[in-house]
Amino acid sequence: MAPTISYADPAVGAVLVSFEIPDVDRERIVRDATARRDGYRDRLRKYAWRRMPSLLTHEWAHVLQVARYPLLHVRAARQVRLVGDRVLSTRRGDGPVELPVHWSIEERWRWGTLFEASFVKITVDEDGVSTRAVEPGALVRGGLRELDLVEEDATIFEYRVEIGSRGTGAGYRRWLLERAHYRALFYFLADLTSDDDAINLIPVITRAAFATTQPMASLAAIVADLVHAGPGVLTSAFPDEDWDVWAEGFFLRRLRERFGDADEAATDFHVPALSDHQGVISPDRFRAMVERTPYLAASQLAMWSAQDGDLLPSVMRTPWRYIWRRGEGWDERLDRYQPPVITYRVRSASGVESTLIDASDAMREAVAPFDGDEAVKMSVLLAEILRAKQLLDVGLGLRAPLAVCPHTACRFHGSGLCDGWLSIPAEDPDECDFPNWLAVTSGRTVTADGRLLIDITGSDNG
Amino acid sequence: MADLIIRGESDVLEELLRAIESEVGPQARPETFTSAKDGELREPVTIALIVALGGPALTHAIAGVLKRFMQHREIMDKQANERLAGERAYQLELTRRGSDGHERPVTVAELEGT
Repeated sequence: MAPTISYADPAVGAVLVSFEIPDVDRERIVRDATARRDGYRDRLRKYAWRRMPSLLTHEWAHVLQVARYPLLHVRAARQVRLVGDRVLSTRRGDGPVELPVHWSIEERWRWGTLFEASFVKITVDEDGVSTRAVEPGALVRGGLRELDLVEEDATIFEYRVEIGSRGTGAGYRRWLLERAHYRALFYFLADLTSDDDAINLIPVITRAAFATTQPMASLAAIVADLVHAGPGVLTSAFPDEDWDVWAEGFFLRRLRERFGDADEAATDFHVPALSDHQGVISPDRFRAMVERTPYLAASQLAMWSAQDGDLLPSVMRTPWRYIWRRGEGWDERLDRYQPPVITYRVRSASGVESTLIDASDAMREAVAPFDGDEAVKMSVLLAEILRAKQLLDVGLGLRAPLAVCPHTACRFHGSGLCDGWLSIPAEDPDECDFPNWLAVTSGRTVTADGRLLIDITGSDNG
Repeated sequence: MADLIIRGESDVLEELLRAIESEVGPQARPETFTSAKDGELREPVTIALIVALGGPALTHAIAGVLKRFMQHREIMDKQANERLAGERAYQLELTRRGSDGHERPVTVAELEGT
């Protein structure tokens, strides 16, 4: 059986899962969808959650991170802005464009990814804590990335839901060995303090670091505080239930003392991240940014979170109290915080593939922030952003397409325009909705010989 | 302190890490390295391990794990190759990094003789 592949695209609020199911299950799902439309979506979701509870929990954690962590939110807004620019760029130009197109992005905007994968080495010795950038490809001890914080925070979330409790450092160390996991930050902190401290500190440190504009500098500053205080002092002195609330507040205060508050440009998603100066993004600035970006799924979640008071912060701290083990459900107050969109790419053992894009019920009900006679639902908007984001990521070579298009005779094939399109028809290329989507969004199409992208609004002909 | 850098296939490295954690424990100070691109949130692919060679006893313990692990994998791979012609046998690339940062290839036999 082929391995299950999943990833989150929190900028869109989407989780993508590609998995194989037995033929008998596929037949049952198709029969069920045809015979009993009512409640079909719920039954499909239950099936997926029972099959992949840990994986979906992990990806859900990533979606919640973007709704709660200010810096991830700013970066999500920057990414969606890039998606919009990409769509607009197909409209530009005075005449026909020769195909295939090669997409590129200004270097300064490349820093606008959700997080950086470059390593920083943090060294702790008798002189204190120091950091330096690590050359690409070098394998050095203490080499950490923003990715390690985000992933290990989500991994601990997943672990705690899976075992139904807070867990222990030793238990987590064993659990990490069950399959490949991100572990670099855990090993680094455990070496510095203890396994118990490491598992408790990682979520707290991640929340504090991503409330600032430069998470790795913040991580180094927090490590300096931990070293200065001595192993265990900041954790074991406050063994009560709300220890982490206190610790997060403490670390944020210390970061503010060191770096000050982030300026307004730091939450301006119209400028590239290179302009960001280190500082703490205040709750007021975060709130203002959420209000300025109501079209983001993460903003919807953040606005609901503001209405629900302490609910979502509490879920992030103690997920096992809200999400049940083995995919058996969750506290109903979390219904509207479900991943806004889940794309299932299902392969059956006999090779039949299909793609299902499932927007959450909450996003189906929420109205997108557009003026007009007819209300547009958030689910419709998100599906459009997701499709465009996939095209951007694949076009830039940032990720492989979820499915490879088999229709080599299609005039769009090889044009560089539709690589990454999600809804590829299994048999008849004429059923593909990409040509119509391109025509509507850009006013352009591809000539019959597949060589040119031309205007169909009349301007190329005049 | 010297380190041993081990490069290989992801699943082989994961299995080796389990053996080191189980037989040597945290004093091996293992660290794993995973490949990733900017902006990717996906399952990790382990590309290398680092373990500490902090003195003769620890080095011997790690060499012992490596030796047993390699013998076991060789038997397993040989059996697999007999069933599946052309299947690639596993490979581990070992590099010793001294406390001065100098790196050189190393063998299990050398580690055993430390």
